[in-house]
Amino acid sequence: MTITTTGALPTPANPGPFGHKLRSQFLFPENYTQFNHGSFGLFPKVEMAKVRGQVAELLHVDADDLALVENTTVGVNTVLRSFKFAPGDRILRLSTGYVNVNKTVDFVCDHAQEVKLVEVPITFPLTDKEMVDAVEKAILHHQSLKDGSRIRMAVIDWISSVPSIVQPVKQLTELLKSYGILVYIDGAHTLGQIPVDLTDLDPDFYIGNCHKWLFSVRGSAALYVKKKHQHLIHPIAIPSDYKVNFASEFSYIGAQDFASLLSISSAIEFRKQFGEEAIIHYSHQLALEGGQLMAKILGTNVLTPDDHQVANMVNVRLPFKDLSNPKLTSSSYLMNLQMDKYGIFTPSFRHGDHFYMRLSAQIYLELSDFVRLGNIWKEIVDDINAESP
Amino acid sequence: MTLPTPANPGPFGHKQRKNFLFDDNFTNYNHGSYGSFPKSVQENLLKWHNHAELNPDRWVRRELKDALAMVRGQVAEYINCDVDELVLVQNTTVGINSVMRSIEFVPGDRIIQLSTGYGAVNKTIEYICDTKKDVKVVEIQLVHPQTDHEIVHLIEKTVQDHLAKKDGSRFRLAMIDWISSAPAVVLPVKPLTDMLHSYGILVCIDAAHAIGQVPMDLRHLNADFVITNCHKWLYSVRGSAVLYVPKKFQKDIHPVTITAEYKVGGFHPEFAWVGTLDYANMLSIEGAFAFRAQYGDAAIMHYCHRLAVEGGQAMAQILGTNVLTTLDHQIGFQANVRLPIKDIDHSKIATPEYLIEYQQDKYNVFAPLYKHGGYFWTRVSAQIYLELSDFVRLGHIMKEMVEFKN
Repeated sequence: MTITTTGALPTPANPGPFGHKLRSQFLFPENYTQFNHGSFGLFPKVEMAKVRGQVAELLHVDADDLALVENTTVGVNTVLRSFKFAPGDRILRLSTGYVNVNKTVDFVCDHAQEVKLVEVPITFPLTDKEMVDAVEKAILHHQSLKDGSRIRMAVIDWISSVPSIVQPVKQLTELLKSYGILVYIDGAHTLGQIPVDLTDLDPDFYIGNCHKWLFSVRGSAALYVKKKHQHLIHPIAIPSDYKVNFASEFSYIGAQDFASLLSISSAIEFRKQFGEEAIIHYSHQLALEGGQLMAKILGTNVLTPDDHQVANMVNVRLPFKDLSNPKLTSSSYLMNLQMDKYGIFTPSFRHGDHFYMRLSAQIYLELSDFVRLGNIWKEIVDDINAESP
Repeated sequence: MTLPTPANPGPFGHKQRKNFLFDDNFTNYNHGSYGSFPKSVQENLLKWHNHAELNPDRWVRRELKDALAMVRGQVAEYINCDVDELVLVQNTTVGINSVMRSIEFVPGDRIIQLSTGYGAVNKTIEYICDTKKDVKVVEIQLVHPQTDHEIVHLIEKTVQDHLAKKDGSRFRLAMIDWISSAPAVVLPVKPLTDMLHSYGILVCIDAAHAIGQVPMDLRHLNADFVITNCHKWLYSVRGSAVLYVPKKFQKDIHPVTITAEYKVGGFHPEFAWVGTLDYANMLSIEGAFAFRAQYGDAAIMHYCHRLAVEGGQAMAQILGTNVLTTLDHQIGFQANVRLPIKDIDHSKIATPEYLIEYQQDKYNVFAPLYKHGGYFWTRVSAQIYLELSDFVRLGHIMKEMVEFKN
């Protein structure tokens, strides 16, 4: 299937093979529109084949340095719970890190002797430079303490979850390495959403979900461990091949249905029909335009000042008057309202002094879907604002 | 009502093949390793799997927890424990690691393991010893056949000998199989648990093979931790097991994957969501129980046990050898049959890997082969889709293979 006769990439105005016509290849019922691809992903119905080499190719790494695991949480636990932290080590993380990841860091600090956290508070909007400066400031502050401790490892999002922002990982990785700090990149949202070149980025560890943006079945992710660290890293469930070598240890970690991992191949095949460039370009453009459109309907703005901080997800500000309203502080009210009254779901959250929703653009969506979503949220916001005096 | 036997299989035997998913010309002699499931269970799996895709957020955020609790309740009733003492995990290795990597072993702790313990489990104990200061393993050499009494006595003697040393160390935990893997022997877990408890030792039961093969009553057993795979003998899809943790230990046991619920929700919320997975595999336990209910557990267990006993004897007769244990209660659904390989120390021929490849390539069968107590054995799994004639056939295949190799 070719893109267009002129070879131009699909856009919301000229979707080519994308948009609603692609719905038939996914598994939604007729009347459901998926706006939250970012949380749990989706997959098309095709046959299966072999995987690790294909993923290694996508990531520009040696297949022997990759392990297939179930998800990012497993990948993070694998590294953090087997790495030999020593008393006096500090682990650096950002306040915007994903909750499971931050909790795993907490766990490690709770259970290892004299291993503590250094958290960098981050509030968007920030430019790339402001982010890098904030992290460097935290490192220098820690150095000035001169308490004999050292920052051993940093866990950094490539694309954060809520809010969803593409972070300056190249500059951050170089900065951290210049201070002798190991770098673990949480790339949960990266594969299939942005190009990933781990040879260029050269982190110590990287984890990326395939079941989010790559379209494979839930329970499929890829963990990269730099060769020099591999002897230290063991699976969360120790297998018969313990201490044989990295590749063997991670090749079989107990009985499971490998269908999820094997589906990665068919996901890659599906994507080849259109080409990575077309998929990424369309989704990205749709995210930018959809976000702007929704901001206009709501009379607000998107969180990110720079377009390159947006991939396929956009955070749109919701003009709630009173952020202390229990309907907003509740973890389930807005979720239930969206699902029950409107048959949709998008994450919504407080960040800094404002409230945002996060939209995910995808190849099965069109601009009209975002008009609808904007109007839904406007109604929700107006209804709740009407309650306040 | 008479229960099915190899002579009178009733609803079982080859007529069951149409309910399963095997290739036409393949006979599965090794149900014990990775299990298998009938078509109706696969349909149940797909029901859950497809339902999730209709609306992923609704599924994960609103429906999944209750679905998992429903399945947990079914298992709790089946193995007689409180539903709140059970959590679903992917497999025994994950369950064992959840327990062993959560326990705060301290210097001087010793861990008992059996030489017949499963590879990954003993490796997990090795990992614990590698990563904790002055925590060591004491391995008890167990060579069958032994009576139950001899097994209990052997382990108790190890404990007593160690106490006599008075070196400041203490046995903290014992890892005991309910049914060992290779060889497949049902161990006297109740007397062992009681004996170990009398010395203040925690008891972790690797019951990987137990559920669906032997009746389980966890309230009666009163062990400290029990892990069992539903995807072996219960007929659910691979990636479905349960971990039993009594309430008194729950606050200390964390999953191998830490999530948002850490120090927030506690034991059950921590284990209910271990990151994004296709949870359909765990939920297929529902389909497994529905399938079994058609025949009843008594019928399934009686048939498979008798087939293992008679099938094992038939093979031993063909080979001119013997089965590992003749004690009926030590046999579940698996028979260990001796192979009369002449030169068992031959570097090439007498390695299990070589023979395994040979049997697969030439005969399209697979039955695990292993060395135990100075002899070569094969382990054969009985199942409702097998008949005595299958064991006779396998006996002849093994005889031909052994004669050729000798």
